[in-house]
Amino acid sequence: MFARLWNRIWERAPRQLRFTRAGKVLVAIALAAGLAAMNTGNNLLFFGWGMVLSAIVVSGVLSEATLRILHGRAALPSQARVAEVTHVPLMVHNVSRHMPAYAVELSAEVRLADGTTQAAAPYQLRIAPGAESALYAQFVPMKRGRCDIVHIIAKTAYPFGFFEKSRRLRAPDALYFWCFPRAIDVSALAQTVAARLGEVSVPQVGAGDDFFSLRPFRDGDDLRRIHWRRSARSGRLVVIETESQSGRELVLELCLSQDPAVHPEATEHAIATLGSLAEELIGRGFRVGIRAAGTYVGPQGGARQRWEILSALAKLDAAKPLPVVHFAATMARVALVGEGALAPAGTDVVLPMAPWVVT
Amino acid sequence: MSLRFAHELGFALAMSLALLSVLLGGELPTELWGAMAAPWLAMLLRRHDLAASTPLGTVMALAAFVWGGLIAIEQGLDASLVAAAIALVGILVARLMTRRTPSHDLQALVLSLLLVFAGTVLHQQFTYGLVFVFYAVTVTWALVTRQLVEGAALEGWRRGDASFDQALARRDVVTPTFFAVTAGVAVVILLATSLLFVLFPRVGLGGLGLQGRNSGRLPTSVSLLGVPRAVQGGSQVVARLRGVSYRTFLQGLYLRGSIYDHLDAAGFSQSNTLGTLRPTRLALAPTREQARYEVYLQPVTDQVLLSLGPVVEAQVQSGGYANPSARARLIGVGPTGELLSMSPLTGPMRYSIFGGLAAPRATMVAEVLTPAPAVLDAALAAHFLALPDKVDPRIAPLAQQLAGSLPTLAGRAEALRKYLLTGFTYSLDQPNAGTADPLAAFLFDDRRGHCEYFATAFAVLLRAVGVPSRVVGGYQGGTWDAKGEVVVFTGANAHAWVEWYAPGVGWFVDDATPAADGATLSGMGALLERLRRVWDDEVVDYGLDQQLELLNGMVGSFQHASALSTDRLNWRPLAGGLGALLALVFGWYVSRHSEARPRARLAPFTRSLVAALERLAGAPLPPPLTLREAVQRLSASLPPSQVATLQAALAIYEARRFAPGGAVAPSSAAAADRQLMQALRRLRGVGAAPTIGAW
Repeated sequence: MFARLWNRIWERAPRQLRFTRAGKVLVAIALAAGLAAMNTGNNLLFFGWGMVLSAIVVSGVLSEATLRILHGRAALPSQARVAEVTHVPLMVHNVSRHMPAYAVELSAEVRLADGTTQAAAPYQLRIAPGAESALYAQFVPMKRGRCDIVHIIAKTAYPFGFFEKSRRLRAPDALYFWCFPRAIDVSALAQTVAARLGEVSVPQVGAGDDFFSLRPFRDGDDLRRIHWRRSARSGRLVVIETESQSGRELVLELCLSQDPAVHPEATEHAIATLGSLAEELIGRGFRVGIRAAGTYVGPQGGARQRWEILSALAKLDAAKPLPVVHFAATMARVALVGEGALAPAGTDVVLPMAPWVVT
Repeated sequence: MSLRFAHELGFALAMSLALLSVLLGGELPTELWGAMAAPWLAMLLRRHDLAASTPLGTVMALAAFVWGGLIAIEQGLDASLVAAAIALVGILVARLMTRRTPSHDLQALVLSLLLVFAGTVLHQQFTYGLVFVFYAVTVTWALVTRQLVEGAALEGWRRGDASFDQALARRDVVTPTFFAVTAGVAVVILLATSLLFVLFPRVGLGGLGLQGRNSGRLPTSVSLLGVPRAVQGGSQVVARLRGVSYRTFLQGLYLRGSIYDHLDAAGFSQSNTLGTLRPTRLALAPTREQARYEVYLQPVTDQVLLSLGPVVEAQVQSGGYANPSARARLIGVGPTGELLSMSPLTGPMRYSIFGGLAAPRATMVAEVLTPAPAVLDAALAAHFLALPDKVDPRIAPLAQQLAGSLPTLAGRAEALRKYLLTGFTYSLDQPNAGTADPLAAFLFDDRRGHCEYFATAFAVLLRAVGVPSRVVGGYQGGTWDAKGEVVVFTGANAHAWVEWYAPGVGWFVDDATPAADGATLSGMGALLERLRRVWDDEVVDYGLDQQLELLNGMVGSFQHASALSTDRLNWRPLAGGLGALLALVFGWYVSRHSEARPRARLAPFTRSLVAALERLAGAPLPPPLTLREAVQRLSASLPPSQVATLQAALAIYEARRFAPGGAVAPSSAAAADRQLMQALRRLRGVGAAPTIGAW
């Protein structure tokens, strides 16, 4: 109990000190030398002993001085995804006018859905007085969900490498982001869905087959697109423009079993598959929405929609039921059916997930 | 200077100084001086990214272990520390030759620290202090740069690219500021070390005295083939005498130590049979001159405490053990007149003596009328007139020819001394090395040699004419230091001379070696000696007594100051000065911790923006908050016009603050700046402005 209490107090301390292996050796030497000096009364041994003890004290003072002159800030990463390297931007500022900071390691303490991790930024050999450095702390989240940047931690073993002192520079206020589900290669699955649902013409210029309009020839236009008959009639070169081909509007539905026997990893895999499929289909020009446990995102296209869907999946609580939604007749419905679940009525395409095998 | 070079240089210097800390003590074999090349060779190897193979390093370390082990077996437990130091040097050299990573460097630095600790026993001279100070500086340098190199290596390992080499090649790390900081750190460490040294109470038991010192000890025999004792003794100080006048010093001082009374084919040595003789027949003859003097003696003998002549009264002042707080005790005066300690000396000792000053000059005066006895006491004659069978047959006739006809002992001794002094020359060379009978070669062929030849020849010739004689080892002459009136004896003053016996009177000191005149210290020699003396008195000999004296002195001066202050001192200037000092400290503290401090360095434009933000919020801007964050936080509660002004100002600020190369506002923008600054100054908290604590 006391050990646990001590650990809790220690973890919350603004400064933490850790002995390196060399530090442990030095402390052992200091103890032995002190014992020998006191026992033998050899004055010169007192000198050596004093030097070791002084080095320990000076080491603590200097590392503290190094950490005190550093101010740090964190910003949100552009994107975080399960099993991918996430970059947390950190800014570190040496506020001292004269003293450089040596041998500093910055990290962000990130609270994840499955625990806390340290996102380490590159080692800084020297931060000049008054200088500000922009760094990226890296970590790899292994579970989707909310990630809180709890602390920015500056760590140094300067000057001697005997001890590693760390200091929490600042606790950011409510600085958090969402970790998206894992990216999975679903190109084959997306191909199947695209083939089943087909593509439709969109009233905008594109690379489809249907006529859109005519316009004067410009440098760089493909010569094969010149409409020769109209050009001959008008006396100047005219090219033909075609409509864009695009995917249809569809909603991906995730059907999960509430059976506790279903392995949680299977559920996560299904969510990751849904997210990746939505990304892939948006990339192919489809207007994609999702309907999953307690979540509905209406069909849209583009990068913004990709972000919305992945954010919704990051926040998804798989225990909730599917929301009730009235689908327009033009919307196609694609159901990803997890292990032990049933596809809802009226779905156009049913994609059963393979049974999850624990390895 | 690149980081790599700075680290390598500091590292090599620290290693060299650590090796010097043990090698300069003179206890280790001279072959080990070769290890001094290792740090620099290792530096050269590292420069070309080379290192010796690990098996080779293992072999080197094992060889050092075996070497040290053999010495320990050969010389016993007393040499255990020497053996350990040899092994340590070997391991260090092996580590230096095979080092590849910063961790290896750290291991070498830890080994060097252990060597410096070994040096505290093996090298207690003043030079240790010098080496220690420079070691503290360079090891600080090496440790700091090693830490930076290790960090760079770690980063290189993480990123898997060439960043390690790039970091090592950086020239902006080891700058003059870096050196200044490192030197400051070293100075602080040394000051703290000194403080701890002075204040830490010496209350230890002194139970485990580390043995180690062997060099400079007086030999147990008079060797004609070995290294002369004057050479063997080296240049280290072995004794200091206070209380002797300059006149006495000029007449020649003989600091008497071991007695070599047994003569055989190998020469004179110490016998164990003196106890069978009556002590009165072994003691020194009384002398006319007497003095009270103080001796500071290094542990160059086992139990014999050196003296200038017959001891009347003696008292130990301090020392005798490795622990200077412990004090050795005296047994008393031995059968041959030497002062004896109860236990072998393991540390410097300080004692005072009242007694006679035995020197060759007194011999003639006191003994000139003593006739040569017809028959001596049988036991005495058997012991002190004995000549070995293999003594050269020409020696006895020579002695008889020179002095056999003279009636008195003093006359015989004088004749033989004159023969040696006039016909022979002093030399530290070994002309007779390899000859079967070096004594005969000295007397009849070469006619030159060192003091051991002269003493042996003189004693043998005396015995050949019926004068009982023995050889005495000790120190002769010395150098005079006018400051403090101290006579300093070094290992180079080691000497052997003769004592001969007059029945009913005692033993007289006599010397047939051409004597060197007593020298006076001056210039650098004097300075060095005074530094050594301070080192020996204030550092090596510093103990609990000195600590108590210091404490008493501090208490006494405090009481003295109190008495002064109440009676005579005017408090006003003192209080004024103290107040001014406190005001300075307070001012420094306020300027250091004031919120306004960073603002003073801001450009006028930024200052206007910060002032506007604080005015609008009604609270100072906390340091961790960026200006962008501050504007964002205020925007929600400000009218759009004010937000626009703030955003415009923020855009300019950020463009200047974070632009590559730190772009400076062009002069053409100055007018626009002024307008914006005026707009900022006009901003006032209207409507729902945040209150204090809004940040």
